[in-house]
Amino acid sequence: MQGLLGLAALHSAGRPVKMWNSREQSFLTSSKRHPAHMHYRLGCRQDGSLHALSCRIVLDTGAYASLGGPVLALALEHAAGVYRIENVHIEGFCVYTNNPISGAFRGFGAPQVLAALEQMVDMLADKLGMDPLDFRLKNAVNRGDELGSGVVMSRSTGILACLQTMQKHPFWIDRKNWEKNAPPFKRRAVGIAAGLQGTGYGPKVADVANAKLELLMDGRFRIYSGVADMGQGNNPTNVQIAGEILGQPADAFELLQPDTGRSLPSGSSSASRTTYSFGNALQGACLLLKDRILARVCQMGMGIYKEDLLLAPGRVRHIPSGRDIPLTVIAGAMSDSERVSVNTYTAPVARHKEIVDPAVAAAGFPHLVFSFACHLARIEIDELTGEVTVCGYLACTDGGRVLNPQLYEQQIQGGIVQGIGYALWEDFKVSSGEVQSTNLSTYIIPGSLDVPDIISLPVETVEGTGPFGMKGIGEIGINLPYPAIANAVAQATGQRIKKGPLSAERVWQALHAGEEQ
Amino acid sequence: MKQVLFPLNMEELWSMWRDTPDAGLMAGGTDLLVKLRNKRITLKTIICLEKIEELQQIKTDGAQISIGAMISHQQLLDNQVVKSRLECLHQAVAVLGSPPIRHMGTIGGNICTASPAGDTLPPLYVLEAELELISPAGSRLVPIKEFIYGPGKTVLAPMEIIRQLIIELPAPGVKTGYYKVGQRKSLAIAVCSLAVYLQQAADGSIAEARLAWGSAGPTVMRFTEVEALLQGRKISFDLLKECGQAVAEKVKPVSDLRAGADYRRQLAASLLMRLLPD
Amino acid sequence: MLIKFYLNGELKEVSSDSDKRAVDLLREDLGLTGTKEGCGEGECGACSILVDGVSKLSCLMLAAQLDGHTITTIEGLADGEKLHPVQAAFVDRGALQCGFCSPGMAIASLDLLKRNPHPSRHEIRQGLSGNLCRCTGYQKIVDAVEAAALEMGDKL
Repeated sequence: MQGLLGLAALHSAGRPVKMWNSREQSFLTSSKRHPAHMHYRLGCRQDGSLHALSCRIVLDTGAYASLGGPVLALALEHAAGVYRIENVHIEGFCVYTNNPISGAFRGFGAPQVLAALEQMVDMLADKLGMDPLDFRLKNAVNRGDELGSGVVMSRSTGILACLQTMQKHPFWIDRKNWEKNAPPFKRRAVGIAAGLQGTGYGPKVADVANAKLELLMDGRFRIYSGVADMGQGNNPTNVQIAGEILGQPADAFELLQPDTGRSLPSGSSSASRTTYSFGNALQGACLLLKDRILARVCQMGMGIYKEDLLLAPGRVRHIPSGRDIPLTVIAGAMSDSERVSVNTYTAPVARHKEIVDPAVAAAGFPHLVFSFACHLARIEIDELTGEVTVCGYLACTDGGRVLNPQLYEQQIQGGIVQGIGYALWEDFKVSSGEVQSTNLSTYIIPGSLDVPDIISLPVETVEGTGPFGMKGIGEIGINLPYPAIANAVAQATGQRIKKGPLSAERVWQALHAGEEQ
Repeated sequence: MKQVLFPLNMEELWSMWRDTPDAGLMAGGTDLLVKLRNKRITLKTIICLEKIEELQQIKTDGAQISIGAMISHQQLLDNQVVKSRLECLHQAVAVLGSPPIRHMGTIGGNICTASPAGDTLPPLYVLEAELELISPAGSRLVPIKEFIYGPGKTVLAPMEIIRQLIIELPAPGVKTGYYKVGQRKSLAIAVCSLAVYLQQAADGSIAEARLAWGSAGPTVMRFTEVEALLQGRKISFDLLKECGQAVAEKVKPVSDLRAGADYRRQLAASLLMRLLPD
Repeated sequence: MLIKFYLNGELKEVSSDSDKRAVDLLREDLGLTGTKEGCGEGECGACSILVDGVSKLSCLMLAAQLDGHTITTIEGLADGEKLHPVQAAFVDRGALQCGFCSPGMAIASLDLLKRNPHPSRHEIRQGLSGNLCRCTGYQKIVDAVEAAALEMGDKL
């Protein structure tokens, strides 16, 4: 894309150029979430402890690899979900086809495998006669445990706390009552699912961010952001982080959007890493500049010690004397290069077991830091039409410490609604390699009436490697609506629908399965 | 360059149309401009009907209502007579498209598009709306079911438009309704829909039943045999099941991206259960 | 043809191909790029504008249809630097992420609040049901419209 724009710019007589796809062109050409064919076998002991998993995952990457390899690696890493499983065989293939190209999409392989696994977990609990939440609580990892995929949980691990939070919520406690009160021709069910999402690129592609911060001559600060804010709000979070460390209010900052000419490369806004990686880099840059500012003040007079200085809005206060030195004065006393701090952050990586196929490791396996969540969906099925209505939705999420509750909720709510779309309507139809759903009237995404208000309960852990204890939550929301809704649909219909989305037509068929025999 | 003409009255319309006989007529534009954009049609001249007052009247005299062809879906939604006496039509426009589509789209346009999925059509079939067509030669009345004879096909002659719809108001006590299955709750094209008109006798049995299905065949469909099944009987699960079986054999739905024919066939039957009292 | 209309309170006279779409006239000829084109087919609501106070889709209108009308685009909402209460509520409640649907959402909200100054959450969702959003999940937009309604009372 950049190449095409570059060529266009050569002929634009100095005017800026941009590329604008029509909706149809966007449908035809942009990369999509990989269609996945998954075969799962899952076994447990009599006491409900998971014992064995065997699964085979085939991703259709279309005619070009794009990020198919890394997507597959993440799918494999998340294929055993949040559980301890002793004996595991996970294999995956990313195959070329004549279908349109698949690539990176929110969740990056995790939504597909969790859709499959979390349904298997419910089926197994059902076979065992065990409560599906108890079953998950029994098998979910704690810190120090090893996931079925072989990844050791060496960082904050809040899935048990998430499940316990759900267990205490009225949506879970009152579920039988709520189900019983279904209106005529409606069936109600409550479904749950649990899952996780790795933060960052994984070990092979270095997850590096470079933050740059400048004390301006007018006493304010400029943050040179290196990671694009596409609306998820990492920019305001950057200001929060810097404001906290430098003791300044929001209006003391000027935030420069990523600009290849002025800011430093910091990677993509993706992989649930945006605030985690750049925030860490920025934290370092702030500490560095703060130290320089205080050091400069110390050099302004005799007997001033750093310990006596407080960086406050617009000034540095010398606590013993009560004297304020304006930042404008300090900036004037600093050299240009001294007023600018740069800090590089490279995310720590996990070690992996030797049993992992080198090809998988090369594609970014495993992650060190994970966010966790469990979701609950209250659904109502119209027996006359098969239409599924999501009446209520609860998400308990461990995204570490919540830095900005509003932005946090935005990501959870938005991710869940995309996930509900994935579960119920979104169907990118291709026939003999040709795209059939080329517009918004045939590729159905949810509208405002199609989704409920979502209850989001943060289950905070403190992630020691994250800035102020946070972890990425950009993707985790999309991972669980599919299996939570599918588990509810299965309860209500007595049938497992093995192909997505769970369209009204498929649900109707499930409601009437076996009638013809 | 293409031209867009805005006649202010019928005389101007006829004279402009005479000068540009291959012009396309535009009511609300919500279908026409999509077709133009997708190059499914090309036009040198568009005649836009929105400034013709005569096409924008709603009149009611207690026994019937006449609705100008250029009345928007929102105007129908806001009209008290439509709301209280033509419930099926009111319910249909409430789920048609979306708020801005309802502000733009017109009832005349929805009829002339003649899609089997058009939301206003099944109600107009059970209400047995008559269309007053007008041309320089004069006007004629055509029942809606004779006006549309295939997908996108109408009996409009060259230089003829719908002036208004005339609907006899159902007697008090007649219950009408519209039930739609779409792929989502707004911005949805009907996968299957059903409009009903039920008049009950004093003993609760059905004196007259009219049923019309959308998206169940090339045009909106009514079946006299099925309506006859209901005649003189009381609504019950078993009766509706019996009707449903008859309907499933008669509808002629297609399979497309939105749904399979078999599912549509089953929906046509099962939507009848919406008639059961709550 | 010469098209005369009130745009955000100012009388405009623009010469335009009469079959140009209204969205193109606004964006390309008049430089008002706040109005977005999301689909060109009336499926997404991003191009919503107010025509005589009523929300309509500028991708399904011809420029010539603007003639003689009063048009409000998203640029016409704020009073100088002072945001319209609906816009302020969107900011305050975090009712946007990428921002592409936001102008249309704000227009739809105004249309709704004019018809129904005290809507329920469900009525707000109905009022916004012609506007697709891929980022927010709608909840914070509903929050914002609820807050704006409270703020404005019957003032709209």
